[in-house]
Amino acid sequence: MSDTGRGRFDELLDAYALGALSDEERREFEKNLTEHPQRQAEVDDLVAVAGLMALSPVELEPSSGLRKRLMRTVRASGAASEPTRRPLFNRLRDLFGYQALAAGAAAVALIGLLSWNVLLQGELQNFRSQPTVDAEPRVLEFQAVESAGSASGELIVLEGQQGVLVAKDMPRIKEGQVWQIWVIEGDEPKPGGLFQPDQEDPVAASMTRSPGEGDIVAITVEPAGGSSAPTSDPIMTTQL
Amino acid sequence: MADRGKQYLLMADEELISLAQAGSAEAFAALYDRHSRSAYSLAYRMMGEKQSAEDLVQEVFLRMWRNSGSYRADRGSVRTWVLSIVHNRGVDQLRSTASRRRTQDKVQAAAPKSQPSEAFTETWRNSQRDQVRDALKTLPDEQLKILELAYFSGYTHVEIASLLDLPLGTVKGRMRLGLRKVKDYFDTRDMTVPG
Repeated sequence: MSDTGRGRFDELLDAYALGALSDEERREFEKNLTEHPQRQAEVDDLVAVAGLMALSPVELEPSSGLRKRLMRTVRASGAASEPTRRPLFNRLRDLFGYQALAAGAAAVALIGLLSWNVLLQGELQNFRSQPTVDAEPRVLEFQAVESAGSASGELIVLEGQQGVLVAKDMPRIKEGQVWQIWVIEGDEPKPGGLFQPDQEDPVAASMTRSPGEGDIVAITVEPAGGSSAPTSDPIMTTQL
Repeated sequence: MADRGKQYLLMADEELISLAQAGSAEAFAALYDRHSRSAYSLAYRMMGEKQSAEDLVQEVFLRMWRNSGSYRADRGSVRTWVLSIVHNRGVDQLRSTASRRRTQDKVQAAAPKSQPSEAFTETWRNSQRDQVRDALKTLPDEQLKILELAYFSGYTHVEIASLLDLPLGTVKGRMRLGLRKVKDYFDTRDMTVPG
């Protein structure tokens, strides 16, 4: 913008307020604004007017599932008494280890199951720039029973035998029920994690128990909170 | 616990933000209950489908939870803050190549829906919303359409000119006239622009 750039400023002002400038034009406009801070009030005024557009859509109610998912994540990511919240990635990194977690991200991208839940996706983006890993994750396909309809799933076994389950088209279950993952060592099923029926589809769930070689991993329907032993038949299984 | 829940209901947004910043999930839930409807309505208008809209709202509220300290009361109300995050993130998503391809037809198809006939059959609960909608009703269709393509669909003014086969100067002129008209609507009625 030459001189005081007033003409160009005026030319871009409305589109700026509406967020309708290209990145280059936006930078040009903001540079001008930095050089002429007295124009800020005028910009703020028009941005506020443009922001009114946000109030005009027909009001719609988000699903109750959204609130549940959000609050579950919020509560998992930091208790009220915890003064400093740690990013999910840090906690997952503690749980899985850096390389194993990165391997999991690579595996998910590799097999094309791109719909981690939004949170996990965002967090994974944060470390996709980290050094690549040598270890390739194993991907095992679940076998579903006929009553599961079109449900399918894969178990991604990361370095250190940590497992991540990715399932899609899971059949509907009743309110008050959850999906529970089991690691069956010999004849003994041990709880391996829970995931909710109202999560995004496909759903990604990290296992709380590492499956060993020869173990069977199974998924059953259980009462909310999970069971100490399966109370229903497996809907899907796979064997390492 | 129930008393504490009632207590949150009575608190101002700014107090809830402070509590959320200190790690109170309950305060954050109260903020969600207050603003999720507006956020989702905007997200749905921008993304055009339920799942994308919910994903966007979830992302925005998680950002709020993690970055509640970035709220500045001097820049506007909490609602304005929430909606601006929804808008900015929505535009980012719409401008990604894949999303743009997917939504381009949808935006064009959806344009007639922005006409008053459908929107105005809704029972409006919020007087500010009523004022805003009334203000937008005063705009000629060609101005309203350009504002909507810019604000809700994330198009740049150059893209809008191309999309509507109009000279760029015409698009800029209609943007200007549209925004000024909305501003004048509030100014002439001695109403403050809702913040």
